Amino acid sequence: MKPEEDKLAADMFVSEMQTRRILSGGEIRKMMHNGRIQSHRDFLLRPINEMLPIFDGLRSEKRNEYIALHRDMEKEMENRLRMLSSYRIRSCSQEDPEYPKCLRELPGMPMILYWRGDESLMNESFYRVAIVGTRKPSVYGERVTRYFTENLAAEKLVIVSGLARGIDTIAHRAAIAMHGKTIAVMPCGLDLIYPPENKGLLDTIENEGLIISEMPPGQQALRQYFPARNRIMSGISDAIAIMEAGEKSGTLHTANFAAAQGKDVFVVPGSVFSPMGKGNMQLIKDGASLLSEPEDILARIKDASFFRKLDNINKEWSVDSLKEKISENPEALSLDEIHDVLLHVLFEQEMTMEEIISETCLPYKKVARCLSNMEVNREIEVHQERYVLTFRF
Amino acid sequence: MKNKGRKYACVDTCFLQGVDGVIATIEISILPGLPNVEVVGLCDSSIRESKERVRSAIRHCGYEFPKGRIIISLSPAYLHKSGSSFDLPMALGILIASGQVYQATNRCIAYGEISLQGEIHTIPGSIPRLMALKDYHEGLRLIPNEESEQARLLEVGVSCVRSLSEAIHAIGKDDPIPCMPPLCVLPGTDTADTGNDSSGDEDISSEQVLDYSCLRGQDAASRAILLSACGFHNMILIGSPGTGKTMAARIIRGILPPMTLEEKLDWLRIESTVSLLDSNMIMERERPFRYVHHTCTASALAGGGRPPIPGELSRALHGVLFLDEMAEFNPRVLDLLRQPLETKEIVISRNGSVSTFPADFLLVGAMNPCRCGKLLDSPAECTCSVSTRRNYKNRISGPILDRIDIVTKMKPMNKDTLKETLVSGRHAESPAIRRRIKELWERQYQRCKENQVEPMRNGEVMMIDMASLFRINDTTMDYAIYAGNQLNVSARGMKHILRVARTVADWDEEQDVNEEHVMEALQYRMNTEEFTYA
Repeated sequence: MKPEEDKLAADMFVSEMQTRRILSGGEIRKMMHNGRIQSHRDFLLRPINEMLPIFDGLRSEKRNEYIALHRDMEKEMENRLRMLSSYRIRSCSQEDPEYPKCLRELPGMPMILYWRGDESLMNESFYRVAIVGTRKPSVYGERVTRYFTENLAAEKLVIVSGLARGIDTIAHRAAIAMHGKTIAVMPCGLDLIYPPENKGLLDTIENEGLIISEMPPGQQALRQYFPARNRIMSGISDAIAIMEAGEKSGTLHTANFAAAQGKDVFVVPGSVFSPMGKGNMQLIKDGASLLSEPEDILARIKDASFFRKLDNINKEWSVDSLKEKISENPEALSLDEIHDVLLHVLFEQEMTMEEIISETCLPYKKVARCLSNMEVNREIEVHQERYVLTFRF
Repeated sequence: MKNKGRKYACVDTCFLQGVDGVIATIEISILPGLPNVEVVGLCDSSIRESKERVRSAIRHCGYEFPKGRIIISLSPAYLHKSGSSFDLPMALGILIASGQVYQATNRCIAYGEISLQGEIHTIPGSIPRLMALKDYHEGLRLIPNEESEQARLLEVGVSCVRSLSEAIHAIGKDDPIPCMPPLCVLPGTDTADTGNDSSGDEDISSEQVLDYSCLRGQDAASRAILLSACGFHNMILIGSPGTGKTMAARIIRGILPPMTLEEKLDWLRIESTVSLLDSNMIMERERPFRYVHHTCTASALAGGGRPPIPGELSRALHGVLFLDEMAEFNPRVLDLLRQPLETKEIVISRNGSVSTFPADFLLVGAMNPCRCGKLLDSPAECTCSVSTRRNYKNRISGPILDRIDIVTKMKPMNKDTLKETLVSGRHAESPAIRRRIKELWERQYQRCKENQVEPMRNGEVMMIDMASLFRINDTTMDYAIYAGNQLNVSARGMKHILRVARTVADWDEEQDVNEEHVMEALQYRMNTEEFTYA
C-alpha cells in the first residue's frame, strides 16, 4: 500500500474504533500524551502484539473488540480502499501539519478529518462565513439566503454550510452561481450522499469547493451526529449567519457552538408573526448581531483579517533578526518589509515619526514613504502627530 | 560760443521712474531780472531744495552764481520727478549758461547729489539709471564715483567724478575718454564654469554658521528643505518656538545655487532703487534673503509710496522671502502674496500711475502649530481651545495655501542630537548640496526645453503640463488619484503632490516618477484636519 493509503486506512481504523466506542478520542490523546503510543495510526500500522499492552488497564472487552476489529479490517481494508479510490477522499489528523489551523486552536475538535476537493480553502488566507438555517425555509428565508450569500461570495468570502435541505442547499447553490467558493460540512462518510437529491450539487462542490467530514467513509448520516457536524461548521468559519431558524431548530445548536467558540453570530431578523422566525428572534434577544446588510459581516471580517495579520507579524517578526538586517543595510529593505516592521512597532504603541525612526533605525525616506502608503490604505491614522493603527480597512 | 549772449544751456540727466531709468533734459535759461531761481517741470520739494545746494557748491568751487532770473526746466514735463540726483546737471547747466565753463562736446548727461562743498554723491537707483545710460550715445556720461563698480558690472563706459570741479574738468576736455577700465566680470559666474570649484566654496564661508548639518535630527524638515530648494517649492515650516524655523530658512538660502549674472543684475536693479549698493552686495553671489516680520504693512511688503518703490516681495527677487510667524500677519497683507506667487510680478497702482515690479521668489513661511505653540510637542500643555486653533490656522487663507507645495513640521531638538551637533562641530555639507541642486536645476530646465515648454523649475510648473513633462506614468497617476481620494486631497492639493513627487524623483536620479515618490510627496501635504483635533 502507498503511504497515502496507509494513512487513510489507519485514520479510518481509528475513526471506526471511536464510533464503536472501543476508545474515545480523549483516551487516545491521553495515551499519546503519556508516550504510550507515538501516533494514533499505530493502532493499525504497528503489529497488533505491540499494541495489546496498551489495553492492560482497561476493560477486557475493549481489548477483545480491538482484536476483532483489527482482524476484520486487515481483511477488508484493501477492498474498502479500492472501493473508495474513485472518491478521492483524503484524511488528515491533528498530528499532521495540514490540519486546519482554525480547528486546531479550538477545544473539542475531531482528531481526524476527511475531505474531498480543494483543501486550501481551509487556509488562513481565506475568510469563511457559515450560512445556516432551517430545512424548511419560508419564501422570505430563501430570499434573504440568496441575497446575503451572493453578496458575500462576490466579496470572495468562502461560504460554509451543511448541504442539508433548505437554507444550506440554497446557500451552496448561490455561492456556486456567483463563482464563489463553498465548503460543505457533511454529517456522514464522504462516500455517501445525504440528502440524496443533492448528488449533483455535491459533485459541483467537490470540483469547485471542498467537502469535509469527521465521519469515516461508509458511516451513514445519523440524526445524533448532526449537532457534532454543526460544531465543525462553526469552528472553521470566521462568522456565522443565521438566515431562518424555527423555535427548536438545530440551527440554534450551531449558534450556541459559535458563541462558545468565540465566533460572531449574525442573525437576519424575521417577521414577528412568522413561526419560522422564532429562533431568530430568540437569538437576537440573546445578543446576537443583527444582520441587515452584507456590510455588517464584511466589516467584522475586515477587522478579523487585520488582527490575523497582526498576529502573524508578531509571530513571524523576530525583532533581533530584522534589526540585524536593518543595521546591515537599511536601504536594502523592501517597502513590504518596512511595512511589516512599522505595523509591529505601531501595534505596541502609537508613535511619532521621530520615535519610529529612533526605534527602528530605518532611514527617514523609507519610513516616510511607507507611512504615507499606509495612510492611503487607511491602515493608520495620524492623531496628535502620532501614527495610530486603525481598525477599519 | 554759439549760445554766448543768450545765456542758455542744456544738460541731459537721468532719473528713476519706478524701477526704470528715464532720460530727461534740463534746460537752463538766465534772463535779466531780479535774482531768482525757478524750477519747473513737475518737481517735488526735494528738487526745489537743490537750488540752495547748487548755489553753495558753485561758490565753493570758486565760481560765481550768476545774477538774474534763472529758469530751470525739466522735461519731459509730464512725469513726476523727485530725488536729489538733479543737483549735478543743474550746477553744470548754470555754469555753462553763465559762460563760466566751457563745454567741449555738444551735449552731456550727468546726475548726482551735490554737497555744499561740491562733492558728488550717489542716490538710490544707480542700476536702472546706468541701464538707461547705456542707450545714451550723444555725449559724455558723468556719474558719481561711488557708482563706478556698478558701471563696470553693466559694462557702461562712463566718467566717474568725485566733485563738481572734476565734472567741470571732464566736460571741458576736447576728447573725453571714459576714465574707466572697460569692464569687469562678476566674480564666480564665469570662474565656476571654468571648473574652479574652490572659489565657489569660499563664497559660502560667510554662511557656514548655518550649514545644512545644523538640521541634524530634523529628519522630515531637512528632507523637505532639500526638496524645496531643489524644485523651488514654496514651503511652510510649522514648529514650536525655538525649534529652528528661522535657521532652517536661512539654510535654504545657503543651498540654493548662486545667482547667475542675469539674475544678479535683475536683483540689483530692484535693490538699487531702494538702497545704496555697497561693493559687497555687488560682488556677492548669494541669493537675497528677506526676513519679513509679521508687523509688516501692505505697502512695505508689496511696494508702494509716491513714487512707488519696490517692497520686500521684489527685494527678495530670485531669493528667499521668509515670513516669520506667518499666522500673525494681517490676513489682508498676506493675501497680497496671491498675485505675485502666480504671475511672478506685482502691479502697484497709485493715483493713475501703474508700476510693475518683478516678484519671483521662494516663499518660506514659519508658523507655530497653535497660538500658545505647544500643540506639537506637548499637546497636553496646549491651552488653546479647538476654536482658537481653527482660527489660528484659518488666518492663512486657502488661496495662499493653494500656492504652497511643501508643509513640514519641525521638532524640538533631541538632547542627544543636540550634543552631537555641539560636539562634532561644523561640517560643511551645504556646498556639496548646493552643487547637486545646481545640476538638478539644469536638468529641470533641460526637461522643459525637450518638451518645448518655457524653462522652469518643478515648483513653477502649471497643472496643464504636468503628466507629460513630469513623466508620470498611468499606474503612478492612478495611485496618486486613489491616494488623493483616500486622504481627502483637493484637486489643487494634487498639483502640489505631483510637483513634489517629481522633485523627489529628480533627487533620487529617477527618469520617471513612480509610486514611492508620490508616497513621499504625500508627507508634505497640508493636512487641513490636523490642527483642529481636540
